[in-house]
Amino acid sequence: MNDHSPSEASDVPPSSAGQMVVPPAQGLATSPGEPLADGPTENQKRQLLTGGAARGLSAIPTSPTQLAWRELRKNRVAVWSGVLLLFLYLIALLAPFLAPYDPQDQVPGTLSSATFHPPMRLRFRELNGKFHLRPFVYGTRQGFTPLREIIYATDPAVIHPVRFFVPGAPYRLFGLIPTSIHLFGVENGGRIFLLGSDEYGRDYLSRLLFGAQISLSVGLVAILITFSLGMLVGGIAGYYGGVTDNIIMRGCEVLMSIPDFYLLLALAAALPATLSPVAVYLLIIIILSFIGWAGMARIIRGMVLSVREREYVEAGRALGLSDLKIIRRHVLPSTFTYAIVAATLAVPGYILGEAGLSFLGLGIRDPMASWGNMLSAAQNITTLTSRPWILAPGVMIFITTLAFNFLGDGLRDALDPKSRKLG
Amino acid sequence: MLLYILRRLLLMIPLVIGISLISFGVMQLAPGDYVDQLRQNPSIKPETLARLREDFGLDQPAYKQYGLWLYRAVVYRDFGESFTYHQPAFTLIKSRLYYTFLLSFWSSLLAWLLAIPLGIYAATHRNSFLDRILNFGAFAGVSLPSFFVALLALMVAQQSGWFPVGGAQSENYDKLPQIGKILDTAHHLILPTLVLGIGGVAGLMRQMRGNLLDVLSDNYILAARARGLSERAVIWKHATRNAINPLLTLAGYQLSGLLAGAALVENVMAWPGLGRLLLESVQSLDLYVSMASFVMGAALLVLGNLVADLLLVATDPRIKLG
Amino acid sequence: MNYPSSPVSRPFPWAALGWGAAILLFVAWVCGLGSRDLTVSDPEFKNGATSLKTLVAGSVEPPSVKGKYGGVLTEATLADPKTFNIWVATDNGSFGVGGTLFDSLIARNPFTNKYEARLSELPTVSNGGKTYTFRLKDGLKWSDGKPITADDVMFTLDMIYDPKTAGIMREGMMVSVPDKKAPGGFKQVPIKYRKVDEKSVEFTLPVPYAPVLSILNIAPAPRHKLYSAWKSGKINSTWSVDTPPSQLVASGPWIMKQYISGQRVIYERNPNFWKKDKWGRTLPYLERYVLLIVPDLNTMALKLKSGELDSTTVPAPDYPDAKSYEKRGGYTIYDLGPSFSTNYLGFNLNPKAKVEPWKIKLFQQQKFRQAVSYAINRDLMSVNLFRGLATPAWSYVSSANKAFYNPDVPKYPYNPKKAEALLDEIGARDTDGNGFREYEGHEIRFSIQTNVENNVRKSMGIVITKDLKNIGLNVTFTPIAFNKLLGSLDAPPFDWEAIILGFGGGVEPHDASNIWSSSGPTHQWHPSQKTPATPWEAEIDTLFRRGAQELDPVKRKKIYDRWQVIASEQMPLIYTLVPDALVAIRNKFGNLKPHPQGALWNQEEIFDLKATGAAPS
Repeated sequence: MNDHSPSEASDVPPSSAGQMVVPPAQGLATSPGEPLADGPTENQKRQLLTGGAARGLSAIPTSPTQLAWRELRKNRVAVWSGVLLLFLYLIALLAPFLAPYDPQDQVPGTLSSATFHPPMRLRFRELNGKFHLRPFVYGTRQGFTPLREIIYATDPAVIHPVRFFVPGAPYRLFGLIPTSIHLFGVENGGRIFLLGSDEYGRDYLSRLLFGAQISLSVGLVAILITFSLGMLVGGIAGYYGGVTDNIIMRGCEVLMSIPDFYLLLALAAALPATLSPVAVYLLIIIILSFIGWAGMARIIRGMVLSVREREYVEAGRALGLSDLKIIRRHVLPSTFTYAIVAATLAVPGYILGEAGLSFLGLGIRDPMASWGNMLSAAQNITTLTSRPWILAPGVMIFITTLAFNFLGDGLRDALDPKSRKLG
Repeated sequence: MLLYILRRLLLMIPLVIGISLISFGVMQLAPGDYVDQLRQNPSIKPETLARLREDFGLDQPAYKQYGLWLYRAVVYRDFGESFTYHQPAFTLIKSRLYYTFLLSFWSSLLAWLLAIPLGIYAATHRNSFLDRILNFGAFAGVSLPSFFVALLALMVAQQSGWFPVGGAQSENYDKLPQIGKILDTAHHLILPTLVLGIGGVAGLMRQMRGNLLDVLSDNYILAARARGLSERAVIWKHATRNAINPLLTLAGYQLSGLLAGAALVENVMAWPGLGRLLLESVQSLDLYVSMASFVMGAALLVLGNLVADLLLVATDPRIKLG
Repeated sequence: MNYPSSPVSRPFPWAALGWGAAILLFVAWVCGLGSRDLTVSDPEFKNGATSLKTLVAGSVEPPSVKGKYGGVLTEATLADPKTFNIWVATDNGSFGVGGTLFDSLIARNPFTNKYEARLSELPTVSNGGKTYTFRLKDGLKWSDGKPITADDVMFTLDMIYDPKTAGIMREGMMVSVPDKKAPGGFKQVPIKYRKVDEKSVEFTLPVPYAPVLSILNIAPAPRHKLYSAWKSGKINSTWSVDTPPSQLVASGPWIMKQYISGQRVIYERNPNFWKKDKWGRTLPYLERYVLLIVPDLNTMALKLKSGELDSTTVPAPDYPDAKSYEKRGGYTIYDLGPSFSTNYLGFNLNPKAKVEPWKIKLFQQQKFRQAVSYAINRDLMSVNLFRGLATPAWSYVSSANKAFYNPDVPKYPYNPKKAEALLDEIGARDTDGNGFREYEGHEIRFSIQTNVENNVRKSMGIVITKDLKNIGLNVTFTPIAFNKLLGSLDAPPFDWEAIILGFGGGVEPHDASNIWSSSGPTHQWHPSQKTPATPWEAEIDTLFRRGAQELDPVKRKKIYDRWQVIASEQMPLIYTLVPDALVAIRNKFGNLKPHPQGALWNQEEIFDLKATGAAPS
């Protein structure tokens, strides 16, 4: 590929299939229509931080959504990332059903234990060669190496067939329907650890699935709060301008100037010693979203500033529409595309933020499971060398954040009509 | 020009006061205070705790504590004393500054040096196989918690024996000749620089790519092409220069990041930076050290923005100071 | 290359392929595809230790051998020192770093538990056990050559007793005089001290006091360096960590050469150290002692393996990994037997507490607490959390404390049947058949808290929760930040139900009087009682009062034996496990005498086996 000259990038005819001719882009910071409210920096920053979406605002084609969708579909990575994320969220939603056990359940009974049980192999064929149509797992027995490491040996005499739709720990599907049917489980009083178990003998697959509920929702809810706040405050500041704008923006700058992580830390340390894990979870989300909204408000404000000078807004004002209506009907929708992109790109930050807090013991607390606290429990040399399955939450965090990044990146490209010319 | 700078600097004052107020407020939110930490030791009597609290002024109502702090900060430029170290907060911060700057400088440099050429390549070879790989690599770099990557790096160091396992200097550093000292520090710097630097590449690279794509579609580039300039000249001489400009603003933001450092990585890699001190002070509720760090970080951020703006003016003739 | 953007020719789905491959690979790796099965009949499985027993460390001090001069010993600490001035310090980091510089008058030998002479000869006792006279050794010098005299000792006491001094040594320097009206049953009275001559100081106690030596083993401070700072009221900020090390002096084996914040402390031999080896040669043998500041335990473990550290403690769960690397790493892991740290589960027995009265009533039942104790599977906990490197504990005193440990106390080996029977007996039965018991019409549900920072306690909490659910108690486990925990523990409204905490004890049992005297503020389960709420608390009060006065060691031990029996019968604090002290030390050193009280407590004697340095002149 190196023999292609870079010029090819722009040699694609501007009107090839799926493309629209876009009016010439306006200059960077000096476009005449845009106000220079706060010196050039504001504009520069807006240009910088809003990426393509904001620039696109100056030239929205007739049906941007359709066009964007078509663009996005061409970006395979983004599409697959999106599919993967949908899949992950679906799994999280169905976690109680998919998980064979309650995530906080240790091996019941009194004498046996399953500390760091490695993943069990699902089998169809016995060690002596006998074939079963129904998959099964062998029972195991705990032992120790001479170095006192816990090991497990399979006992070929004990067979636990895997059954589907078996009753188990009661739960409420989608938080509503009370049931106790799980997708799969084993009989004969055995345990199945498809993904191994943790230090306390809790099924790692179940924890991973329930952890997904928390880790995936933390990012989503946090971003919702961040955006509602950011759009509200930024919208007000940008639309009204003047003193309001000045006060709000100075406030935002103050918040933004404190290093995120330490602010997060100080706030997390201030969490009340509540007894309810749900409350802890909600508070952590609120704390996480507290960090991002100021930056968001600032960017939205910049965009609103430029939008409100547009002809159609002026026209609306001339027609006597109320401020609220103008903001709702005209100003906010045009900032929305940007919001979607930025939201997608911001979610990984929240997921990683929760992991960082967990590392310091300030995130979601054991016995509740989140990918963050599972990974920080895996932050141990012995784990890295001899218990690889404990790293599964790390893999999940990696995959999820990567997928969000790709999707966000794809969305940005798709929603940016200008870069389409080159595609 | 001078007037503009002056105005910006004046604007800093309310900002910095606001930040100190917020950081004070946030620290007050945490239950208990520094002295409560000492209760871990059952042999300390309540009277001793009360005495200490009085010594530190923690028995005063919050507004008085803050007022006193502000007064002393403004009048005597005294930003308070650390409860734990019995030392001025600023002295403590200064002792860690060098290593924080060292690490931040090299890791940002690494990020920039990697991100700009890669971004240019990605923009000029849009959607090529390598573009996708680079894209993947860049995002992969930010998709794992840094504290975890740091531990992995240390394990590699231990198993290969190529790098020291954390720290910033060897134990026999002082006995080394000058050149040995430099090499020793460099040797210790490699892994933390990589861990922190790689994380910064993704954002910058995507930014650079986006900017360059924008610029490449501008009229003057078309004009340049039309004049028959070689593609190389068009991209390197004209497009890239303009595409880098917006990144300068980012550099301004990074200046404050320089100070905050990366506490978790510093912790795992035993790097003697400011982030560790700050982490420790926030956790132990060492009020004034945290506040001084926050205020300093914020002041740096504002200064960084100013510098970035001035740089922009210097490089981009289209921008005038408002 | 660039793909044309027409929808007809689509780029190859690299990403999809990549994702698929990555996920498949991971799944395969995790499931151990291709690995061999270990079955129960394999010799490899059978030869392993199927039951784990704790090794017992030697209890006799090994003899010292003639050392060689030279070499470096490198250790690590988690936190920076906060000050070099140990007399005002409040944290372990500072005591560790500063304490290395200063020797004490006398010190307890960890093996014999007897006090031995250090800077001073052992004191002479007179006046019916109320007067102790310490005479400093001859020819003692600070590292800068100034003599160490009685004035230094006098100054140290002046400084410690000065209420303006920030440190926490003052409390330790008080004699507990029984006084029924005072909180804790004791009045804290300072010791009188008087200079006899240039070398001798006489201490006078208000009453005979058995633990006296544990408070008189002070480290003298250099008067010529600190007096003016103390006089001018600046002692708290003197010798802060930005003091150039050259301005510090030392009486111990080391002088500080360099301190770099966040990195390391470097010590070199103190040329004026008083101690000589058996052959009359100067000590210490080692040339340098380095203390690295490494804030992360994993990093410490890696540094041990890479050879950058000579000694670390080893958390039990990492024992197999560290042990398997012994040969390559060139170190040995010593299992020193039980450590001094204990952990317990405690219930709130305080009637004034803001907890439902029926819960307090339940917790106050001795049989309930015994049932809980029977329900905890300590052996399994030891295996799963500590790889068998921990021993069950029944009382406050760890079995490591050979001087005072009483093995003959009531024990509660794992027995869920008995636990359930005890609960039935007090009327806590599962009346509605939901698997959880009810007491006085309420389902028994309570929450166990612990401090989130402590991994051992967190692990114990999770396991105990399971054990208690097994006998029908609906327990939730809530690790929270230490500050918050303490806030609710010893101050109204006392709104906690159960808690997992621990104390790191020393040898001297009287140190526990704060906790065990019924009127003590840290009498956790029911603090600051006006009169003892129960007969057994009253008896413990009496025992502690007698124990402080009893000078005959045999009779004294009997008193504390009785205390341990009561503690174990009543179980206000249900003790769980005492983890072993595990320590890794590099093989290149001689004269190693590791002990749970300190792996390298005899630093001055330790030497590098391969050292070739010359004796210092």
